Amino acid sequence: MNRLLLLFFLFMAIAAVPAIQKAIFKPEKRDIFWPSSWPAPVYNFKKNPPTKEGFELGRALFYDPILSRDSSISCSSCHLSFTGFAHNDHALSHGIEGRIGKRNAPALMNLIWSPVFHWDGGVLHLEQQAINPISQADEMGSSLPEVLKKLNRRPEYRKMFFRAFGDSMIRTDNFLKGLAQFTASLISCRSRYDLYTAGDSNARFSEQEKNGLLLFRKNCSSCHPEPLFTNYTFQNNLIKPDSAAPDSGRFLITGRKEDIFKFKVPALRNIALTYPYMHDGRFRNLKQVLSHYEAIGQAEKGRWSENSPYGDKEKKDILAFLLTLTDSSFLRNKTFHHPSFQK
Amino acid sequence: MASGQSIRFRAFFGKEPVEWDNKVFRSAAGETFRFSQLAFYLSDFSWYGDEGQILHESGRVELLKADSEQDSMQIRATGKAKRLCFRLGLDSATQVSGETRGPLDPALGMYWAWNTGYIQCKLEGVSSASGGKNGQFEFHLGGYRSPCPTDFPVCLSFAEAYRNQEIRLNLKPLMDAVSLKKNWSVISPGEQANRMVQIIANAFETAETK
Repeated sequence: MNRLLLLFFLFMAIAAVPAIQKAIFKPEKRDIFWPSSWPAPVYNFKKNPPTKEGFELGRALFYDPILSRDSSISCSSCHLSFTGFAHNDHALSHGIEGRIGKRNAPALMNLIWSPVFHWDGGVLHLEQQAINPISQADEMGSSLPEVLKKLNRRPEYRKMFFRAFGDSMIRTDNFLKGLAQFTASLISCRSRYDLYTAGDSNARFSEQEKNGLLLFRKNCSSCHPEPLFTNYTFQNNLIKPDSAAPDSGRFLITGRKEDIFKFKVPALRNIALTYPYMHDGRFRNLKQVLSHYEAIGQAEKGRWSENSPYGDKEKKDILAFLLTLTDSSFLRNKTFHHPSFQK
Repeated sequence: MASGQSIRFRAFFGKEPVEWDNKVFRSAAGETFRFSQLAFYLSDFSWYGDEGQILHESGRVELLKADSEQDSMQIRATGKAKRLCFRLGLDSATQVSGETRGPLDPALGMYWAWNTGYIQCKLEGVSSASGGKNGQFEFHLGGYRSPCPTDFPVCLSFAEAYRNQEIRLNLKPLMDAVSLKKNWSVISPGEQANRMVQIIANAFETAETK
């Protein structure tokens, strides 16, 4: 009789598990904002609805070196929140055991509009992007199975995954979705340029900045159109290939001759902080970048500037405008910083 | 083949079943080799009845793998089917869908991180003809972009006694068509991968289970 009772209670306990789980798994919706005038994002939030628990999980993962083989490098090692999630003053990304990567770590923002990732566009989905730095030997040098194994050993992560996705067994899809909960939230849309162009009376542009904006629209916007400041195409901007470490860029992905030395057009928001520039970080400052375009503008009239090439004064004006793309509210957003900085 | 049954896939070299890591085979050109693993995606299944009517269609994706540890490649079957059509590989939409669950889990070793997409068909082995490390050869065949996509339709008919049928993949045509000395590593999308998967797609056949 006692055995029957025990079996009955055991059965009832097992039957109640889904109901209890349902009661505990109640992620809180998290709103993500961007200007209504902006285009619809490419990223499909329906498949990964933003939640408070998901965001906290993603942030924990982003800042945790557990993702690298020797637990020494995190995503934030090359994507620092204070510098627009780029690795300023570092031409190439740094990996485990002092290894140096092949390309410059790009700034992370407004990723939900991007149909392509990496300088060569080899990745087409925000969630899958994270696999590359994790498995790249010169970066985190690990693998998805290894990372999942390590995460599953950590009770605090199992709890966080359950809170975010209702499943404490950590699998690839929820791991990648968790990271994307954070990276999809990195939206920079409140620079002085944004406020000025939105007609905010408190946002003023100097005459130099106004002229810089006009020059930018005339000379640069075919590849860097507002409001996202990239057209997500691949271009050969005629910087000389590095003979010591040749990188044929987009060609590596498509195999088409016309794609040799083409790289993705980067978005320019927070650009004052994301130096050095270009796919291999060869230009240390924006003056060098503008001088490069001035030089090739003179060499190839009509291709690189809509109208006439620009000179020193124009370069200064464009530079002044580019500085208005710095979004302090984005850079100082404590919810984007290391979790310990918020406490 | 009653509803709910499954049908088995087996790798052969000509008339001989493959024994992973063990049996040595010889290509038409005289190169000798052993196979160590095979893996391939199948998708978009259509099962047809006696009179060509569609019995069942399914867009599901299956990843079939075989090596010395596991050699039980099979898919769910539909009862009374006389003909089966499927896609060898994944179509371009699936390749870029961002889906990472089940057989599309990038942790399963078929995902290409550097150039988004999945390997459609993977065949690895060892040969004295190969210039690879420890004599290894590896064919990681994939790519979905025009003009070299690597997914191909396959249609197979079952004999009357279909309950005793299996699907065989004959690796001989592929190994006869490549030189391991020259091409022991094919790991990028392109014309060669396209040609090789096409050969594999034509090498499926139904046969009586032995």
